[in-house]
Amino acid sequence: MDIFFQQVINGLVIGSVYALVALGYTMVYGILGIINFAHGEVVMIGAMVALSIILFLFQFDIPIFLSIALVFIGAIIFCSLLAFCIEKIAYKPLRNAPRLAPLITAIGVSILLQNIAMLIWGRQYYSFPQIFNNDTYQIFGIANITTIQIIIILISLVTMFLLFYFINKTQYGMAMRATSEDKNAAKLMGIEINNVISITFIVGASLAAVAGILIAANYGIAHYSMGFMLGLKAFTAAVLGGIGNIVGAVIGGLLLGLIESLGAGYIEKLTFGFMGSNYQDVIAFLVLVLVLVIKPNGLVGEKSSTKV
Amino acid sequence: MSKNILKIKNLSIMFGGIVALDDVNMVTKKGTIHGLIGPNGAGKTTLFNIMTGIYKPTSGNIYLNEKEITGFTPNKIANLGIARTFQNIRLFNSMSVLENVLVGMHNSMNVNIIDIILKTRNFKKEEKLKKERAERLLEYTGLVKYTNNRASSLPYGYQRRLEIARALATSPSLLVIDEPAAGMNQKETSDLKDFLDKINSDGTSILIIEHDVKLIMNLCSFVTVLDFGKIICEGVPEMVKKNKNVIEAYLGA
Amino acid sequence: MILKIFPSNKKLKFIHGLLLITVSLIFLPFIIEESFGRSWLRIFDYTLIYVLLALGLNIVVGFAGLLDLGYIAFFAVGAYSWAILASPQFDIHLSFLIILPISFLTAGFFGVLLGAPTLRLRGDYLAIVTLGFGEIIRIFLNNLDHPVNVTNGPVGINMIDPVMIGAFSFNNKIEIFGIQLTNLHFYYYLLVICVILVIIICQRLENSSIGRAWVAIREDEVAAEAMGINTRNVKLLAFAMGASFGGVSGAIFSSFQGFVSPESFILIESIMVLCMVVLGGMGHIYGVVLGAFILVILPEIIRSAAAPVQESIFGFVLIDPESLRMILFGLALILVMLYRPKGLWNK
Repeated sequence: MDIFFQQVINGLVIGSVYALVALGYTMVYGILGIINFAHGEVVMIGAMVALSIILFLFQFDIPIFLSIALVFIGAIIFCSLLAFCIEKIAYKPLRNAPRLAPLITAIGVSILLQNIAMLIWGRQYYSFPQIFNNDTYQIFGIANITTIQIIIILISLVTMFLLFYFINKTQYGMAMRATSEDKNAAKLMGIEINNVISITFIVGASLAAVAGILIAANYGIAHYSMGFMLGLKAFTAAVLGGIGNIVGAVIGGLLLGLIESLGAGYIEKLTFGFMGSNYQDVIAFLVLVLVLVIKPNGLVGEKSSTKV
Repeated sequence: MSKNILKIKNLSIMFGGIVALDDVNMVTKKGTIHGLIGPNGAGKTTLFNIMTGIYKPTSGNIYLNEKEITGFTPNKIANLGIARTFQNIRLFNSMSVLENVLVGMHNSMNVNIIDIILKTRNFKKEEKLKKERAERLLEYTGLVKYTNNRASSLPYGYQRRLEIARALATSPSLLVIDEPAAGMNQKETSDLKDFLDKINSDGTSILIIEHDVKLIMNLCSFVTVLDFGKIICEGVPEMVKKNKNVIEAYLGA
Repeated sequence: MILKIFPSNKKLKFIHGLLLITVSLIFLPFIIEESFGRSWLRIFDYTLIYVLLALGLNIVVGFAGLLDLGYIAFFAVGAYSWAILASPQFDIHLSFLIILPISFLTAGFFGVLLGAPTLRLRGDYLAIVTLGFGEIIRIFLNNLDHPVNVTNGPVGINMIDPVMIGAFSFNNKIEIFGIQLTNLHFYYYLLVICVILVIIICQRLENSSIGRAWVAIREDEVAAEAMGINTRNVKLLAFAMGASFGGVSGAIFSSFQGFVSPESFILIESIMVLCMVVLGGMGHIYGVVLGAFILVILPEIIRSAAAPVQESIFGFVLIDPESLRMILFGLALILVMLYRPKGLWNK
């Protein structure tokens, strides 16, 4: 019991990040039916670009809040442009190609991004600078939470709220939902599919940029290979909730974070010392296999009324 | 007194809250051509899908030759003797016409994997027998000139024929056909009628969904009418045609 | 009667062709060694190992249309089977005639284990689950050095026994007519024989009711089932066979390299093999072989040429060979899919 609530807090924090990234995967899948393998790398790029901006701004004396705003805006703009270009160059020409082609292309883009990032930023682990004091607060005396963690949860909530508003209450959002339900019908209704798809990628990339910054801030590290595992797990979370389903992505993300955190905390006890926290990554995949075997369309399922 | 080849008893199925089929009772006599008609959305294809194992009914039973097949998997039902075609043609497009038919013979092949890997005499004999039987079937169904063509390259009417040929390759006792005349002109439909008559007189019972009233009248000896998941009329074609409920269902009086 | 005494033209041509190929294959390792050096013969041997992998995955992805992103796990199972049963790890030293079937069966078993609960999943879900499985295997291999040391963890197992025929070990060097034969040559012949056998088996499978059933399932699973095919078992068979071939390839790899570590079985390897299959045109046996050759040899050429070429152009190395190799690989994937999405050599 001693670590339970702590792990719950940790799980919600990392789960929020998974949710942000999972949303990107699920939206693209909902509209194009492809797994955007490169999405994890966009998260990484978001973190690295943010890092570069921070290091650049350190030279000047700028109020904290302005710096933070610039970092977020800068990373979001960069990642959005990147995703926009990727879609136009690598995915758009393959809209009618056999199913495997966009997957392979996505893998190619992912490899390209990772290696170019390595060339630009090098192989070293950068420490992500602390922009403000990271205090620890006690909650009811049973768990700790740090400033960063609070910020992560808050920013994730705000971002997700903005996304839901966008999807459900705006013209563009409705166009996105229509397109993902039936591309051809949407076209016939006069919806400009190419724009909708571009917007989907841009929105996803923006979420990815935010997630990248948050996770780099959480662990204090930014590294050119940080996108891979994160992307994989976030995609797992998206599938967990039911791929294509926005609510599912959020639930899947949070749930995965919780299970992973609790699992990492208790795995040694559960397996009588056979497996330690070094098996942590296995948990995500095992959960996925179990859920899919029982509920092949994910927890929330694919076709739900709030699907995009 | 001919046996019942197919008996459907108190069959119901619900999708979510919607009752797609409501307490359906139907019997198909062996050796006949039995028509199933009704307005769009009546549940005809759903009934076919339950019959062939794609859906499981919420309640009720299905019997093939007096033996229960309710809830069996599609491949098991196919092996017990029901073969089908689909409303939207589902051929194996990248395979040739001959290969499509050979797939239908999958389970009548008496080879195991060792035979295949070692290319034993048994394997070669079986392949030869099956190819010959498939070619005879293509002759029977008028598809010989397309034998090695890709299935997707066939003209529409011949694609439908191929689907039927493939179904026949499974040596069914009951052939279940879903809207075979859709998109056909008068001549094609007439050819189809002759074709189905031939199959039937050679021993295969047929259950057919169709919208082409003339085809149903000329072809079937018995007709069942479905509307909103319920049977609203059954009988010989002339009687069904004049039935008040049937006319209402179609015209929506 | 005369026709029966003299073979027909076609048959004669076939036998001539076969003789030519056989002779070429026998002399090929020496030609490679003479023209390009010993390291390229080693690379060629590794290429043959990848050819086996690509042929195995071709059954799963190419024939049956099942998207497997974690195929390297079966390679790992086979490799570690050999490593555990023929090395100082537990001091067991079984003969290759025993371990090869064991690798085959063990990998096949894992194939069934993974496939049984998951093959009914839809394509993309199956992809991510198999990917997860590949990672799980790698993580276990990396961590099974405590509480009981089975795999020796991240360090891996080395001093693995080579193939032995009687008292003759593949690591021996012998000299015939002044030509030196090393393990590179012996493994070459073993691998060529394996590749030929696997190709023959794949062709026979392709032209049988099982092969047709696989294509039927790939095209339209609902229709296939309606024709009486037990899709579950047929898919499982594809999965298990592919896994088994991967296992055999892994076992030979293990003994050839002399050591194994979890590093050899990372996700990019699964992806690499998948790309070989896609590049070659899925289901196309010879195309897949070609795909394997291209994707192993081309990067090696780039790797060996990268530094010298850059030096001569720029005077220094701008991009290190490994990064350049990966960047070009990524670019190649994108370009090939954009211009030939059905593979380089499609039917």
